[in-house]
Amino acid sequence: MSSTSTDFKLVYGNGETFREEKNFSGNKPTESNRKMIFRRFLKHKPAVIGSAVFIILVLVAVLAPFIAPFDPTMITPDFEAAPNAVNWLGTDEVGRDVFSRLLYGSRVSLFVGVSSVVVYTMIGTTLGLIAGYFGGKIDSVIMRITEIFQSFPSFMVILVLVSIIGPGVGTITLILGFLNWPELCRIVRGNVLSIKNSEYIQAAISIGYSTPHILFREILPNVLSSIFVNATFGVASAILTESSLSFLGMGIQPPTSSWGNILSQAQSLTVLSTQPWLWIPAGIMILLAVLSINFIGDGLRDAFDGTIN
Amino acid sequence: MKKYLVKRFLVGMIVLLLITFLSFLIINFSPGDPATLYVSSDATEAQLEQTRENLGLNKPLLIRYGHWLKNFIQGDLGISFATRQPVSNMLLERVGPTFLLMGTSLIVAYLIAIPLGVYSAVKQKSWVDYLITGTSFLGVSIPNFFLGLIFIYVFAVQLEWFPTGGMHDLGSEGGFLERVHHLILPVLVIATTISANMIRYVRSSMIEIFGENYLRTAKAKGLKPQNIIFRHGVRNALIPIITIVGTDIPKLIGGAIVTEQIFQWPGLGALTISSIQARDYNVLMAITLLSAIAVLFANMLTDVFYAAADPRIRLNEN
Repeated sequence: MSSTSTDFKLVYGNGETFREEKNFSGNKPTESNRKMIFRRFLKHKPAVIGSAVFIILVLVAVLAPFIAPFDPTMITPDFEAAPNAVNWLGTDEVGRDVFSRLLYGSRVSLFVGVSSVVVYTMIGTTLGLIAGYFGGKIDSVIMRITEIFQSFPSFMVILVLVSIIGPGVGTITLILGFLNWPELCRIVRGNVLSIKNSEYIQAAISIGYSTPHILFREILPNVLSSIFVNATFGVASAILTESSLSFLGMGIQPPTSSWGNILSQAQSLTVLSTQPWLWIPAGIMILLAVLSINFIGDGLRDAFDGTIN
Repeated sequence: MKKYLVKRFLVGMIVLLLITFLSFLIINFSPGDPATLYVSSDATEAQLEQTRENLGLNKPLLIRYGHWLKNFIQGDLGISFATRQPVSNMLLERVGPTFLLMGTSLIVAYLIAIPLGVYSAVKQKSWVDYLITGTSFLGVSIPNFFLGLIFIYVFAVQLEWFPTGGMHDLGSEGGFLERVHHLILPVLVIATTISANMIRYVRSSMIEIFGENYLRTAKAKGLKPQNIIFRHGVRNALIPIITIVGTDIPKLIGGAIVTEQIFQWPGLGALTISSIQARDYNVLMAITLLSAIAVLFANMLTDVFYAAADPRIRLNEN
């Protein structure tokens, strides 16, 4: 069991953050190392509170059918009701229970957030590893592709693609997944560049390990911390994007509820000014989800950085 | 430096060409038959076929791309499916308000972010620092449409300090003050989101520079603290911050779309939304392509500026 004695330095250039590392231990974090990361994470109070809030949100999403008082798509004649003992947050323009829709909305928002990040993490990590490790022409082709992807204002492209392909949970997840990988790709590439010449990689090559083995078993474990941090912030930003799309009517379509499409009723000035209970709770849910995930990401970053000093 | 500039420019041009090709492909595969734009609505299939032939729509993809690119360079962006007007005229009308909104927001964002970020870094781990970083977390996490709705609800509906939307009062041509009055809320929404992100960059950039040897030297020489912070610290910290502008412009455009929609600001963002609702793909792609070009040039400018400001960058390139 080797211990890591590393020297990390944060470098901000071209908007990307990468690390320069010296003296690698060739293995993934040892057990004690993991415990240390976990301990540092627990010391980061906002991250702990964020984790608690996030766990509650996940429980709400999973248990929505059991805790929601009504069917979220059930249309009743009692529309635009103010909050009362039966409908805690009132009803919307077609008489659906807003509180139930809010609980069910967490399912869609969290699902889109997490699964789109899973998609783009796989793409970005693979391309970043390949670009960084092989260098040369392969690297410059991949880097030009990233540059093209990053030149398009992503929100605009997402809007255009959704309007061509048609909105829906699956479409939006895939579109977000296929468009958002470039940043992670650059981070992974930067990380690989800084470690590919280290001694343990040279050793792995000279032993005769296969290239995939070197890429995924030797290099990847040392890049994982950056990937985790980026993916966590990615979930937060995917939830924001999904809610903006749904708010504009280009995302999740009613009767399926998402926090964003609950808020879209507030585009009417009458709803905005006379029925604040229809839109404020959904906005607060988005804020809570995104804030808690951002805090977790911040805590993770500090915890991983902390293991280095 | 010259070699670096030439190289950067050439790479930029290649990327630009690929961007136009990608845009063309997307328009090409979007639903809607451009030929219908050039004939009356009761045209027969034979007339349509004739029009396609005349417009060259039956030619191979690459030839059509060449034709489209030539028109694009000459400023002809096609005809709108919805209004049947030239797309370029529609865009020209909307560019001004969007530039006004985005430019003002960017300036306001800097005016907020730089002093707060520097102060936060200087007073690291004080309660002011925690307040500033905490608020910036909140600003990054709040959806800008929710922030916009809250602002309208509080400042326009309840307090009636500002109008709920538009660029000037109904039936009025709009003087300077009237325009500023309408500009304040949407600018605050966009500037909050951008500066929240920027504060964190300024702060970490400053903190990193405080650890540099030249700052230790400056301290050891016995310079005044404000001299150390401003002449040696802030000036160097600002270099990496400039590059954030390049990466922030795509976000700025995304934020402007939503904000313009909420505040009924008559710019490109609102046009985007109405084009999507009308399935007006020609207009949509023109806006997307132009914003991609704007982003590309902003990135090139920041790279060049970065290289000019920091010799280490251009020396590494060679």
